[in-house]
Amino acid sequence: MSSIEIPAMQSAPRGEVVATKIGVGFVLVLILLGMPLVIPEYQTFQLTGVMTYAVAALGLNLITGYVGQVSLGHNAFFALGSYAAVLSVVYLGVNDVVAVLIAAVVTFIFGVLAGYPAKRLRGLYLALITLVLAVSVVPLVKQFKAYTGGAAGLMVDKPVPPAWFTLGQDAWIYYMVLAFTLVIFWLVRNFVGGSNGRALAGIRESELAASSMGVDVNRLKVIVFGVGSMLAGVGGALATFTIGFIGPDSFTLMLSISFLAAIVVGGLGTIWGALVAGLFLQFVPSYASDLGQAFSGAVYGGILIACMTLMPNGIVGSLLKIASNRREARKAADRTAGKGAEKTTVAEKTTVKAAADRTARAT
Amino acid sequence: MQYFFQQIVNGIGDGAIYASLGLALVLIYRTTNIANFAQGEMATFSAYIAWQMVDWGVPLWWSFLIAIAVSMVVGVLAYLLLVRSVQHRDELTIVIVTLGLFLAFNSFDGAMWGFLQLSLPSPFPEKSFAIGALRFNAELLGTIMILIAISIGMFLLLQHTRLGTALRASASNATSAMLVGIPFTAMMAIGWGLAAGLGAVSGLLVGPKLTLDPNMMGAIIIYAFAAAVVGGLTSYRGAVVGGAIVGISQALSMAYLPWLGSDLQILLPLMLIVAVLIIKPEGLFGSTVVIRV
Repeated sequence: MSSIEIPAMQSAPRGEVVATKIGVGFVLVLILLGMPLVIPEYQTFQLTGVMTYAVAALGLNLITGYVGQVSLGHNAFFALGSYAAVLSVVYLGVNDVVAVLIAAVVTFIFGVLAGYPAKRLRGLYLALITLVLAVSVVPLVKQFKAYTGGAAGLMVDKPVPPAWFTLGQDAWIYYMVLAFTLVIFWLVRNFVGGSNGRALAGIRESELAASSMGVDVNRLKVIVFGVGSMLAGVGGALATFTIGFIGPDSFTLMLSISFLAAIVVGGLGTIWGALVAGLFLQFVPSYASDLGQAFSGAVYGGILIACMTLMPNGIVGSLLKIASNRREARKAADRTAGKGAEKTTVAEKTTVKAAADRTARAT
Repeated sequence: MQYFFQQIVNGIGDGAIYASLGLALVLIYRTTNIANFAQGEMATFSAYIAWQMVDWGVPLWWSFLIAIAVSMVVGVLAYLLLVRSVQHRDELTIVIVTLGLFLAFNSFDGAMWGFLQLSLPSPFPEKSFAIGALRFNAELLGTIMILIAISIGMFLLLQHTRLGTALRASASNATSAMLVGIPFTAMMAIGWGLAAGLGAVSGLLVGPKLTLDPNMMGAIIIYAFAAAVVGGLTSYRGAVVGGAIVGISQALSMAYLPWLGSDLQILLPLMLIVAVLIIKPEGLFGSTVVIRV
C-alpha cells in the first residue's frame, strides 16, 4: 500500500500535522483532567456517561464503521459486560477495576465466539444473526432472576473513593472512567492507524482484493468482532458502575439501534465519531423523552434516515472531508503557482485525493 | 396422542400468520433485495388503521379492506420516497434505513393512538367444529383459508399475469427488463405495495388475537423472519413451509417444554434462525447465491 503514499505528503507539512495533533490531544487531556474541578457534580456525572457510551460506540464503530459488518447485537455485549462486572463484584468480591477487566475478558471471549459465524456471513444475514443476540437479552435476564434481579433489576454499589480523595464520589468515578477511556482510545487509534487500519479498510471495500493482498480476512474479522464486543462490555460495565443500577429495560434492541444511530451521526469509521456518538447517546435521549414517549423513536428514526441519505459520512467524517479537500486544493494551488514546470496530471490528482481520503478515514 | 395432534393443528394456525408476514419479507427481498426490518411495524400500522375505521363506525370487513388498501399505498410511498434513493447502496445503509423506518412507524403509531392497549374485533365468529377428537375453531380455519387464498393469489399473479412476469423480470435482471420497456421503478413500488398488503393481512390477523399496541408485532416479526430464513429468504413456498415449521415447533415446545417458561419460548425461533444460517444459509428452498467476481 505504500506505493500510494506520495512524497509531498511525507515531507515537512506532515510533521507539522503530527505535532499539532499531539498538541491538541495534550490540551484535550488537560481539559478533561480539570473538568471535575470546575463543573458541578451532576455535569461530571453526565460527562462520565458520555465517556462510557463513547467506549462502547467505539467498539461498534470498529465492527461496523471500519470493517463494514452490520451488528445489531451490541446491546447484548453491553449487557453481558454489565452483568459480568456486577456479578463478579457481588460473588467474587473483587475491586471495581478488576471487575471491569473481568467484564472485558468475558465479553471478548463471547465476542470471538459470536464472531465465528460472523466471518462467514455478510450484510443482511449477519444483521439477522446479531438480531437474534439482541432480542435474547431480555428473556435471558428475566429467566435467571436469582442472579440478575429479573425485570426489577439490581442496585449496584458505586465505586467508593479512598479517604485522601476529597472531590466526591462522582469525580472519583469520572477519573476512573477517564483513565479507561484514554487508554482504550489510544490503543484503538494505534490499532487502526497502522497497517491493520488499511487492512480493515481493504476488507470493507473488497474482501477479495484484501485477501489477495495477503490480508487474513477471516482472522481479522473475528478479532475485530471480539475487540468491538469487548469495548461494548467495558462500556457497559463502566456505565453500570456510574449509574449504580442494572436492569433489563436498558438493554433492549432499542439500545443497539441507538448505538447504530449514534455512530452514523458521529461518523462511521472515525475515532472522533465515537466521541460524538457518546455525546449523542448521553444527551439526545433525555431531551427527546422530555418531549413525549413517541418522540424519542421519531428522533432516532428521523436521524438515521436523514443521515444515511443526506450525510453518509456523519459529522466527523464530513468535517474531515472538508478539511482534506481544502488541504488538497491548497496543495494544488501551491504546485501550479510555484513550479509551473511540474506536471499535475489527472491521475496524480486522483492519487492525492485517494490518499487524503484514506488518511481522513484512518484518523 | 390426541393432545399432540391438537398442538400441531394450533401450531399450523399460528404458523399461517407467520407465513403471511414471511411472504411479505420474501416478496420484498426478491424484488428489491432488501430485508425489511420495518415490515412488522408497517403491519401494526395497518391494524391501527382498521381499528380507527371500526371506531368510526365502518363495518368490520370494510374496515379491513380499507386498512389493506391504505397499507399498500403507504408501502408504495415508503419505496418511492425513501427506499428508492438507497436501494443500490451498501447493505449497511439499507439495514439502517429500514431500522429508521421501523422506528418511524413505531413512534407514529404511539403518537397517533397512544401506548395503551386497544382491542381490535375479530372477523371470525366464535364457533368451533370438531373432526373426530380434534377441535378447530373458526379463527383457525379462517386464518388457514386466508393463507391458502393469499398463496394461490400470489402464484396466479406472479406466474400467470403480464404484471407478474414484469415483476419477476425486473427482480431478476433490471437492465434487460428496462430494455424491453418494463418500468423498473413502478415494478419495485408495486412489489413494496403488495408486500405491505400481505403484511397488513398478518397485522389484521394478529390484532384480534393479541392486544393492539405499538409493539404488538415485536415478537411476530422475529417468528416471520425465522419462517422466511428457514425457507431460504428467496422462496415463497419456503416461507409458507417455514411458517408452519416455526408455528408447530413453537406450539410443541409450549406444550411439552413448560420448564422453558414464557420468557424463553422466543429462543426457539431464534435458535432456528441461527442453526439454519450457520448450517445451511440457503435454507430449505432457497437458491444458492453465486457471486461473480
